[in-house]
Amino acid sequence: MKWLLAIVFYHIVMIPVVIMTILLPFILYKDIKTILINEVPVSNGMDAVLAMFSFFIYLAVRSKFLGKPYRKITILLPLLQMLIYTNGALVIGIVILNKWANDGLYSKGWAIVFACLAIVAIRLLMSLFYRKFPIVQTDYR
Amino acid sequence: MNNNYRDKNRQNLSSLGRTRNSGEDLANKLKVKRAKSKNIHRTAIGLTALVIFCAAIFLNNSSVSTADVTNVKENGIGKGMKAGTVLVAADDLGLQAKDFNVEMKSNVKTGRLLIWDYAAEDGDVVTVKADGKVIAENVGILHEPFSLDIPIPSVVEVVGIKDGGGGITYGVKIPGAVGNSVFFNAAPIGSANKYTITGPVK
Repeated sequence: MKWLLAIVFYHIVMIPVVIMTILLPFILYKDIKTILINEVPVSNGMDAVLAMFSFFIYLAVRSKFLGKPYRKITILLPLLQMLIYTNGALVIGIVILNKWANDGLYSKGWAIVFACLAIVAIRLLMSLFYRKFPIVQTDYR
Repeated sequence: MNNNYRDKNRQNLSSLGRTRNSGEDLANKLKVKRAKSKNIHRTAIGLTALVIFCAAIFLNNSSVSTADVTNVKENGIGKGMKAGTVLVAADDLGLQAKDFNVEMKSNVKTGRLLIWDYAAEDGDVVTVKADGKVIAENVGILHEPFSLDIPIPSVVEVVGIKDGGGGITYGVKIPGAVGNSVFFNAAPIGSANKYTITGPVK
């Protein structure tokens, strides 16, 4: 019964979440390209999508039971966590670029500089974080 | 002699015990370190989920309320709305053709005009002129905004070319304008709506 509920309410959603989290950096990169080339803002619903994805991944990391199938591939959950941070950085970059494309808060040049700085800063923090707290193999068997 | 032998034995045994103890300590320390690291990664992804969720709520306030639509019906201006805002599903908002004056902020040197169809994507076509010169001819407007570079100050005209049904409905946004507003309009076929874009008032 427990397994059935997990499959119906969690794994059915989690499998597309895994695939989409891996594909999301490419989608976000395309959005950034659209803003810069066409000079038009893109609709930013990606933050809501990312919030949902990160919540599902958190559940897999938090719960031994829900995360069991995903721990069969050792690297999967840490990879998904890293992708969530990277996607977060890209979404922040898009928000900054959208502020130029939609509101004209600053020039295009500054928008690119701010977006790059935000992405690099988050990636740098991520590197420091993983240096201080390296990924360890969990003993869930 | 016997006492010496006993003392040496005791010493050896105690040193062996110490080694065993320090090995266990190391293993325990490693376990604690691993558990801490694991917990930190778990906490980090949980916090990230929470932060992104809050940011998503804060950033996605772009839905158009009925009050917004009523305001737009009165004066054709959508204050603080985003480019690409779709007000109604069909071309039935009933807006009249209007001319607008747009004042730019002081730090804006060059301008962009974003134009899109705020109602049904029914194949409306417009031509855009700046100071009498055509800058985009026969543009099919869609929900996704189309960007055009415009000089500041200038007079921009949007000429209706083809009506896809229910009138040529379009929205215009000039990023960097005072008030950050969207101008919703209807272009009559063959005639133009004028947008007089001025620099900052000193």
